[in-house]
Amino acid sequence: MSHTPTTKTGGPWLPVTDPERWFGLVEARFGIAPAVFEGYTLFQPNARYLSLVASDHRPPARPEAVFSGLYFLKVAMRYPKLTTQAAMVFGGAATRNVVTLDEAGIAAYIRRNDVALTPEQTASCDGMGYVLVRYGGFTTGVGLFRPEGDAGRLESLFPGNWGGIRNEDVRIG
Amino acid sequence: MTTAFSRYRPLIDDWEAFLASSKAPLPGSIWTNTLRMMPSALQALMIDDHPEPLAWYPGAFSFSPETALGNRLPYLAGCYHIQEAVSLLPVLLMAPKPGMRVLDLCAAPGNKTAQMAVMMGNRGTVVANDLHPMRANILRMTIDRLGLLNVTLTTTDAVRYPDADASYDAVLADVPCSCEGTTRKHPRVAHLTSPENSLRLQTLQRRILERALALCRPGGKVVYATCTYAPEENEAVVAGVLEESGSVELCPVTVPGFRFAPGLTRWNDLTFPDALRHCVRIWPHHNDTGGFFIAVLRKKG
Repeated sequence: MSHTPTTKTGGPWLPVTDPERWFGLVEARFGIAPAVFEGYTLFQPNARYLSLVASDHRPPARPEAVFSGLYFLKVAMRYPKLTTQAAMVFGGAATRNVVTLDEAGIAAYIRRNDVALTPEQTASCDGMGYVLVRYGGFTTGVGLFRPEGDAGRLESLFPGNWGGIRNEDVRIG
Repeated sequence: MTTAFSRYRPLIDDWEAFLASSKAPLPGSIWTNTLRMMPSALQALMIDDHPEPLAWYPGAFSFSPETALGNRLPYLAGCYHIQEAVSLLPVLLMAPKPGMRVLDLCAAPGNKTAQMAVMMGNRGTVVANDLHPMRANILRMTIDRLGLLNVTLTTTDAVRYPDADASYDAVLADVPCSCEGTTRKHPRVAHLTSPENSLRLQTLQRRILERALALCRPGGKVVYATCTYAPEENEAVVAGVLEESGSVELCPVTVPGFRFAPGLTRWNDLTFPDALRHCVRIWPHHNDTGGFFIAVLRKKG
């Protein structure tokens, strides 16, 4: 499989020279088939993030782009983290390190509170690290799973004011 | 409002219905992010709020005006987008397809950009441009929430948009206007509008439309849209471009299930080409929407 960048990204942005490394991290952690990322190109718009764009995307040479595509991976940290927006796009393809919450759990997660998980909820988790959070059939973002005994805790990594909505104003039901 | 819009009275089939509708609260409307879920699944998620499918736009639903739609978890998770129903039409008529290269010349807040990107299946190229960088932040939030992978944002003056690689398959010119058709959301616009103001806007609108045509490839499509009734900002702009350029034609438009009036061929002492009847005039009382004007132009190959 090849993720060789073919897209002109414009401006000072650099194509990622080792996309397999980054896709591989996500594929391995969440059990996502490599084919899911076929047809997308990784590039680095700034020091903090890698972005993803459709491989047949052709931005104009001028004027210079403010941004293209979607932030995919936050790389300016010890353990690169899949972004919330990327989790929402690709979370449906994940087969492990996925946590499905109930209504009370998702309400706490959206409000950026910790959630106590049951053994059933952690069945696909294979140790401390990032997990994808699902509710009602769709993926809502990323959390940090901390094993405790035969279950564990979910630390919410849901952003503040996502979509311009205050977290405490979100209606779950 | 009666005074502000009285000059349109001869154009409107039911004046009292027009006035009543122009003052009534606007129904809420959303469209399904089909990159994320099927419309039937979204309808089931929202069932307690009685979503009413829009017959003329697959995957879109309307709601009673008081329904809160912007604070739901499915909204945050990008399962749907909130957009005024009538403003769905320009992109519906533009009909972007996967792999195309399209340009939204006056994009903010980006609802139509998002429509294009989803209709294109997250493939190809949507270039969203807006003069105001601050307004671009709203577009970025929409792109993140909906998970759009085929959009580039530029922030430059539409009138001076570079044409170094002018090869767009379709261009949307949703131009700044007097917004007369938005009284259901913004009642004050009825007090701010005037023919003089419309004439002032006409110059900018025409320059943007001319730029859109220059950026479009031969055989491609340009959609011109406003949310106003003023013929000075609508038929007069389109007629001016048609008369000056021999390489542009107006396309007939049909939208099954949606009622609209044809464009004007006469207004006061002005006469427009007969082809202007292919334009779309939308009065609020015909479909329980806001008001709009749309012209679909094809650049001859």
